[in-house]
Amino acid sequence: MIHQSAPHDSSLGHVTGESIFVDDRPEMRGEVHVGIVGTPCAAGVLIRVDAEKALAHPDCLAVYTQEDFHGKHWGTIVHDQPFLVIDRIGYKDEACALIVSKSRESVEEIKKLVSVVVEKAKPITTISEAKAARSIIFHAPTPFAQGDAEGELARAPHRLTGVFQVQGQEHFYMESQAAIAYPQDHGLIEVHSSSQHPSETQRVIAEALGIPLNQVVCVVKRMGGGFGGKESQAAPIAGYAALVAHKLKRPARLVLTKDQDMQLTGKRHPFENHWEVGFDHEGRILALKATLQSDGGAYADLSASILERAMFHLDSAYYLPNVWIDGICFRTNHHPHTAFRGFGGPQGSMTIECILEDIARTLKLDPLKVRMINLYQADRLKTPYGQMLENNLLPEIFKKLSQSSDYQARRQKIDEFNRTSKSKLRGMSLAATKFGIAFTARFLNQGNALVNLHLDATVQASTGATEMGQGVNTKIAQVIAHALGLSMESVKVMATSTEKNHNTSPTAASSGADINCAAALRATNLIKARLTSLFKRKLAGEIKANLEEYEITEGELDESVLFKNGEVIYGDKRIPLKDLIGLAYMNRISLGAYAHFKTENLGFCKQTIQGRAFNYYTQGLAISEVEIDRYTGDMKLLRTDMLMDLGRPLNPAIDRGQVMGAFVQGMGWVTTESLFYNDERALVSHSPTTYKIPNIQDIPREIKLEFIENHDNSVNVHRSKAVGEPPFLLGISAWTAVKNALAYENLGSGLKSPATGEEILRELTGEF
Amino acid sequence: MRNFIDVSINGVRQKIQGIDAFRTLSDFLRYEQGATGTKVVCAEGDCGACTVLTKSGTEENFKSINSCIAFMWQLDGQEVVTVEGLKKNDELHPAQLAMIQCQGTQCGYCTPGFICSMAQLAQDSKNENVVIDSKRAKNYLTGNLCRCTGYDSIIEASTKMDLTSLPDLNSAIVFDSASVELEFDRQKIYLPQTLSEARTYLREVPKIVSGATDLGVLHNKGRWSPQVMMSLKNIPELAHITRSATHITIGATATLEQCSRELESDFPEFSRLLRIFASPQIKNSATLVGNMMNASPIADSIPFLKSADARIHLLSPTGERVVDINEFFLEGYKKMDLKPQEIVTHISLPLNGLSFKLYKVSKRKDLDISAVTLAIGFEKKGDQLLRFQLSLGGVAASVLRLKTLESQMLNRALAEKDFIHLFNEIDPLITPQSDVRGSSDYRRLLVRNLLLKFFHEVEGAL
Repeated sequence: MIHQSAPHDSSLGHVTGESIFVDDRPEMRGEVHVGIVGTPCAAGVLIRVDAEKALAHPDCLAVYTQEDFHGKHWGTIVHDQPFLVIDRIGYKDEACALIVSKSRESVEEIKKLVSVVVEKAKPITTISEAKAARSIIFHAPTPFAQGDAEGELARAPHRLTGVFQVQGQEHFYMESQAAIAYPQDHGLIEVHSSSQHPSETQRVIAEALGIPLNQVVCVVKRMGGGFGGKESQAAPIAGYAALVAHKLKRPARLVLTKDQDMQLTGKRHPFENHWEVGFDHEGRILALKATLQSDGGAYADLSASILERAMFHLDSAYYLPNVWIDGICFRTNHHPHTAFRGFGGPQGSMTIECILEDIARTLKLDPLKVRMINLYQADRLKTPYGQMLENNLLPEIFKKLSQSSDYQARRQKIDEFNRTSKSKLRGMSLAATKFGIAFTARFLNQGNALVNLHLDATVQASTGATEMGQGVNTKIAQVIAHALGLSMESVKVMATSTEKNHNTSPTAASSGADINCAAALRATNLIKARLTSLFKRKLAGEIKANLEEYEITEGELDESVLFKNGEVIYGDKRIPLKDLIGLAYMNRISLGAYAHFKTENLGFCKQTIQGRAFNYYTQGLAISEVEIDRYTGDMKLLRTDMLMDLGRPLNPAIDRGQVMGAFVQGMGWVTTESLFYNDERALVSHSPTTYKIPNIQDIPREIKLEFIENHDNSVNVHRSKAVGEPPFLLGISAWTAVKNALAYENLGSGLKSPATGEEILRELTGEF
Repeated sequence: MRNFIDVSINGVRQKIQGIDAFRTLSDFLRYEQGATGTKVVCAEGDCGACTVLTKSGTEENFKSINSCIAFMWQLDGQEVVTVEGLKKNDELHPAQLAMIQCQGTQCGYCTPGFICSMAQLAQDSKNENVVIDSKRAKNYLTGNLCRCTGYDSIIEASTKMDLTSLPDLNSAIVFDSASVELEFDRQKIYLPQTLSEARTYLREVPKIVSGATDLGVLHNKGRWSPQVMMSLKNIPELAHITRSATHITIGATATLEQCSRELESDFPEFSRLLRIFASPQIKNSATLVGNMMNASPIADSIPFLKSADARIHLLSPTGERVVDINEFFLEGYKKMDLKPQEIVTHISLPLNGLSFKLYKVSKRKDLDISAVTLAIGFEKKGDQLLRFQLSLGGVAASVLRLKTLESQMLNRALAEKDFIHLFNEIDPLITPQSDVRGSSDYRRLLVRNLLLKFFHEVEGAL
């Protein structure tokens, strides 16, 4: 069952429309609809919320402000974000009041009747403005340093400096933020939320309402996409619904429109990274100094961890013998930027890919050659934070993919094409991924699972993992089915709920399957051990049936007892699993198990910048070729080749879907997805009409993906590797290919991301 | 005259009236019928999550539309099939089967919309006896966004649908064909069956609709107030595109999809532009006349229509008239020579041997609003241009036809510098804005470069 392509466990429901998402839940008697009123400006002070007119609307039941909250602030790392604006306004469209309506149709109408009186101030809109104002959220306590960056820079035969600028990115999960809160008896609140982090949602609600954690249950059946956007920022949405349910004792539904979701919630962090590199005649990096600067938006959210991960991933696949990396996150008047697939890693790694393109252009070398010479290999395996690369497949990946993609022959064709074409310009380049797997906050690397085996030999299992399309529930079911020798149909992974799994970590950092499959396997093995011991004792004839009980509490696993195809087999003896389960039940032996798992051997010291920050790395490479219209800057992706190391994939088809989806999402980030704010710092591109995620015509005309064989990842469940975020970085190859195309004209040093048609034309012509 | 809508949803015939007739189809399905398979994401027809299939009682085939911007009153005499209606006798539709087998679904939120678009792809491919390759699949799925899969598995699923086992979705209902008048609260709509009947309502109707793809967006985004409307959609005579020796006439309710298909041989370049213009779902609903009458400076069809010297056929309670489009559109934002109580019934395009080059630049190639559009109608002989008709969109308050600058390009050998000179004369006439679609400088440069691109593309022949 494991390492096979079982269909996604929700696919039948998805294709028939029967899968239930939050807003698909039927309306309950007395249910009310909640709307969020936003601030009219990005900075200043809230004077008052005037709700009189709204309350006069026949459908309006209540208007709530910050005064109605018991706890005033929330925040994953720092409690700095008010549920509703208290006085200082952080960003445009920030939530400052809640309206409650009897009907869904009146919500927008009532919102317009609330008048928000403010005193405007001048917002901080850019990293440089924030820098000038010393508006800082977080400054890394210790720079990552190795060797003598300063000295080697001075001695290097070649030096380049630059600023790499990359915009944020809207998650554009298809299902916008949504929650419904149901008041239960004795003040308990049950919330159904589209959240990647039910435990935090539970905590945030408890704080908002001033009730203990055991009075809150958060249930997550599934999300219509998350991508990090529902890691922290789903919680206040659920908090708003819960507050209304708590106050009015009526079910309360809050479902954002796509426009409001995009205006209200934070995005991937924009970065502005300053760098200085020294290198030799072959393009070998001798020293690198970089200061990573992110725009954190108005509140801390997860910005500190995201900045750290950017610092951790500045090296990407390349060895930096002498290096100094600093990081600062600035506070601006934007929505609080948050987790998004890659979590800073892409902004770090893209910087080194940008630098490598600039080195190649300066030395007139092929970008592949410059990468090969800088690759982690042989005795060059130490990262800027002291962790050594183990089981490193990067050299093999680069070699294999450059061969299978026919790189050299295509390079010659591109050279020739660019010499002759008047109207088009082509380019080809690469982007690697060497993504560190583990939460860098060590305490998050834990999970728990509950596995219940029923009398008909079917299983209901629950973990802290949340299903957002990535197939984590399918993988968990596979692991359990494999362990018990059952079919996939016999194992059902249930909705995530804080009453079944406690103190769970967010389904994030690509670790959902790693942690929760491991916990589920551990729980399954507890049951399996009892059944194994029971079977062996029965075979040994230790007691006569019906006289007394078999008494087994712990049991013991024995690899020679096989659980296969619904049977339990020991030597030439076999028993249907169902019969063994029945026997266990009659003998009062537990058929359910709970287990806890933590990732071993993690320990990174933030003061000394030494230690094991990651459990292992997921690695891969992409090569992309693009064609640019010299007149308009329009860009087309002609071909992309990808090679990923996913260890022994738990489900090759699901993992393939993850890689393809991540690549296209990454490609969108660096090409067409441009966030546009007006002078008032209102997000103008707040719907798909103006914010262009890739559509089906935008993917490369030719796209190839293979997995490299790797059986050595013994530190993870069934020797698999995490897949969620790492391939997102492969999308960067679309941007490096544009940069390479521009290099044919000796241009492109200032290319920003995203490389929209306008950006490309600007670099190409230098005219505006 | 009826005061209800006669519609079939997944084979069940329903009479809809009162407020329900004025709801969007997706709201009606989700909140009134509990059919929550249909999802709404953008509520503006741009993501396709809400896609369903419809056909009028008289049509052979189903076509995909965006249910989030379709009003129930538009569905009079129509059969609607949603994702819930594709399964027949407990058998999955081949699109559903293929999506499961190819892992074409991840989070599942976009899936019902994709399934419906794929069902149309399957139906059309079977009817036309065409094998589905990835290019064909992409063309049918351009109007559906997915954020999870990267589309690869969906394309694969589309090419692997078993076309031999397509269910018959047709319910064979014979709908009532009377005219309809609906009223609820401050909203009222007439659905006449003939043009002469429509004419009698003109005095009291301020708003004419047919595809309503723009109205639906305004409605969903709170930028629309209820009013009295008339839909021309049920008038068969306005739905046709006809061809004579001298011109092609396009009826007011002819959809963009119809135009793309039926103008292919006479105006291949316009037909090509329409392919990247909007999603199949929008093109199945929206009309060419509607796009034109929106009168936006970035309406993609207007530069072509102006360069083609299209003629506008107008009808009022007191008479009819035909106007040259270049006189119909006046200077200034959305200014037209449209008299009160006057409606457009047709557009005609002269068949006069002009060739066209139409350029559209946008952030994303497909389904994006343009930053700049350029339409050139031309006739060349040897190395010279005999005719040259130039229109520009996206650079002023209205689409510009630059008649006064055209003649200098005629009857002489041309070089790149002549087009730069032409641009230098255009430059002071345009006032491009900086906005979400591009900066003013970028747009200005695009105008110059598109002129040069035109020269480059026809140079070989000049």
